[in-house]
Amino acid sequence: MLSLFGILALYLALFFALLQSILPCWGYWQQNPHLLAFARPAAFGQFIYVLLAYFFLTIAFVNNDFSIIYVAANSHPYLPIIYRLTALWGGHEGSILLWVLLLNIWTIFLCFVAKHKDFAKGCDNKTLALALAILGVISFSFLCFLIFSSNPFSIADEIQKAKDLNPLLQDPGFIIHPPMLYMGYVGFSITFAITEAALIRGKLDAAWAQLTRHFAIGAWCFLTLGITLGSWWSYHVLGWGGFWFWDPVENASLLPWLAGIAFIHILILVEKRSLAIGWCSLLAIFSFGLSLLGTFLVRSGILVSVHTFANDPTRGIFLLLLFFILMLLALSIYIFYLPQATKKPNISSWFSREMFLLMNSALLFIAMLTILLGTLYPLILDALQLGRISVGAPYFNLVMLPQVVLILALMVLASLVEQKNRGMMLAHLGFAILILGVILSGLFTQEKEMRIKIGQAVNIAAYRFYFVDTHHIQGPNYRGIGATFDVFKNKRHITSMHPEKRIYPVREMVMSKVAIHPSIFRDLYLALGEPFDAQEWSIRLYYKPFIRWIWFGAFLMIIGGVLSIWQRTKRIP
Amino acid sequence: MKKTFPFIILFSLFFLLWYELFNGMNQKYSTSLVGETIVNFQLPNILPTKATLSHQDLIGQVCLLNIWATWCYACKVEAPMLMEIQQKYHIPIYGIVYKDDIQQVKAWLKKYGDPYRLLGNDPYGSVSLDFGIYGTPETFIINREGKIVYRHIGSIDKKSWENTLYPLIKKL
Repeated sequence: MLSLFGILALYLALFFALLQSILPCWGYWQQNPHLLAFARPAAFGQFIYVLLAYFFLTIAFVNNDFSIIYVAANSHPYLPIIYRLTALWGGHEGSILLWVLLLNIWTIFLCFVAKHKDFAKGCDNKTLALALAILGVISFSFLCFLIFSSNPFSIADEIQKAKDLNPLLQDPGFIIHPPMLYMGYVGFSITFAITEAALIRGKLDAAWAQLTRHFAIGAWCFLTLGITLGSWWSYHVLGWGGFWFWDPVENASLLPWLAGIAFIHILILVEKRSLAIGWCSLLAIFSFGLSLLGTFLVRSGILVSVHTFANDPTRGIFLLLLFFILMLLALSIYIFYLPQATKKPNISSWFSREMFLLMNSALLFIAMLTILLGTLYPLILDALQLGRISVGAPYFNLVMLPQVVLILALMVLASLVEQKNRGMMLAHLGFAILILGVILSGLFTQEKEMRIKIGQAVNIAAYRFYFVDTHHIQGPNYRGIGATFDVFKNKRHITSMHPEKRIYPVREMVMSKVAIHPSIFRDLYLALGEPFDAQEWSIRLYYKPFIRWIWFGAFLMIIGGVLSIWQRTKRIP
Repeated sequence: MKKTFPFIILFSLFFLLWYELFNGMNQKYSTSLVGETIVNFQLPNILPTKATLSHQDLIGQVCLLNIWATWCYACKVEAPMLMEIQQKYHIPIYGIVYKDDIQQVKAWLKKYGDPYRLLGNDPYGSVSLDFGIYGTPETFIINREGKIVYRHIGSIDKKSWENTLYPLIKKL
């Protein structure tokens, strides 16, 4: 029953998406304001049905409706309720549904913002209708993809065995990581749509730049939060003490992030001086295109990666075609409509704000290309039959370090000539703290991998770990062994740490639950390895100084972004 | 020229990904090397047991050949599974280190354990390329006649070992 309702809701959403994409375009062509006016209600209609579909799937997860294949593949009666709600995006189908839902939420948000008196100049009725049409096309494509190749509501022919959610994903960090990441990815589709609409209407002016910048910063904040949570998740779930692995999936999220920062900075230039308009609209296209490319790389499984939880070759074809067609259209509009007589950048001096902003965007763009090249390099070589390789951390660390140093240097120089607002300062400070955290934790990390018996102790840095005992543990959908370690510094008891080794019987997966003792200047990180007998275990022990600074810096950047949206909104009466 | 540039980039990116989507996948499921005898090679052995690792070491038993690197994250994930295979299933594992530093490899073996009988050092990746590896890690099942029976791309986990690799080995 739920499945039927769900599919019905998806089809109705598809219908509204079609209306939303076709009618405004036709209306614009025919100069018919009535047809243009269809865009908003169609967007609302689509939103309601996508929300309903999402709601039905949630109900199916909560009620353990295992007649639906997707639910059976990603849930289990013993799965705690909070993970049942989030298991919805634990697999491919559900995450595409989430993608569409978030796109709809952004679209509705745009509808409201465009009506607001502060922003009405940047997005009048015609521009809004065109932007909604573009968003409608994107949404229509993804709904087709959802319904025809990744239907989360498919019914099983035979009785299903519940397979449980991948234990790696049963973690609080994972509850909000994908939605935030997708909010960021999808947010760039809004800036993309507004920019393309403004291109067609020939209104790439300061008001457009102001509106777009708010959305771009919003999307970028979500993306930053998503990446930060992902990094935090791999730090405390995977058990290797690492926070970034230069894995293709991680790189895929970094690409739009970098293009997004370049975009935001160039938008300032457009807003204040009407400079670099072409470059700016190109960056709008890139930041969205890279989000699509990222979705393709992750979902198609074209790059061998430990992060690839869901992949299917036939799905890759659809996403690749979508990426190609949308980019082809976007670039054609860009070439065709870009005003020929854009002002040549008239930079007053080399040591000026404009110059720094331009150089900054160029550097960030190069950084993005470097990572893109590293990520695609194995594919390029393979296609040219020059052999097969994988590009790992050594390449990325080597090529990114000088670029980061350059960007930091530029940031410091720019702070001399710029009158920055508080949000921007905070974001820059956050970036500096993040880089400091990366470098210091990289330099001063200590690690030990060893065997230890109950009653023995081991030293790392100034800390002494005393192995007290082990005990049996029983969770809702797992069982396992927990260990107790007492930690001393200068013979003073600091804390007890409780790492665990869990077995999730449904998937027969063994997981290490890491114990972390955090503080501002260092983390103590303890993971259980394998038991040799009842008394003796292998353990992994890390002393990680300044590691928290990485996430702290990232959160400062996010707060800075939020602050600069808020400040700008306040200043314009 | 300036205007066509973005299109050229877009088209080449598209064709690259399109080509890889099909060919990359094909290689995954039917490698041309399966069923063929392994190539002749000889590499210096990193472990103190013997001077070299060559194709002759692999012949005469059913064994695994694991190609990996210390800089490869998926190999870290795989390391405990290889230890388990060696300790619980007693299947000989031979390794080839792909484009790596010997000191780092030694540190790795101390840290994650050493499941390898012999471990060839392939600093330029030439032998690994003869095996047609797609990335690290990759593992080949080699039978008594020295023929490649199966090729596994990516890290071996409990599931792939119990459902695919081990059943195949049991039959040999």
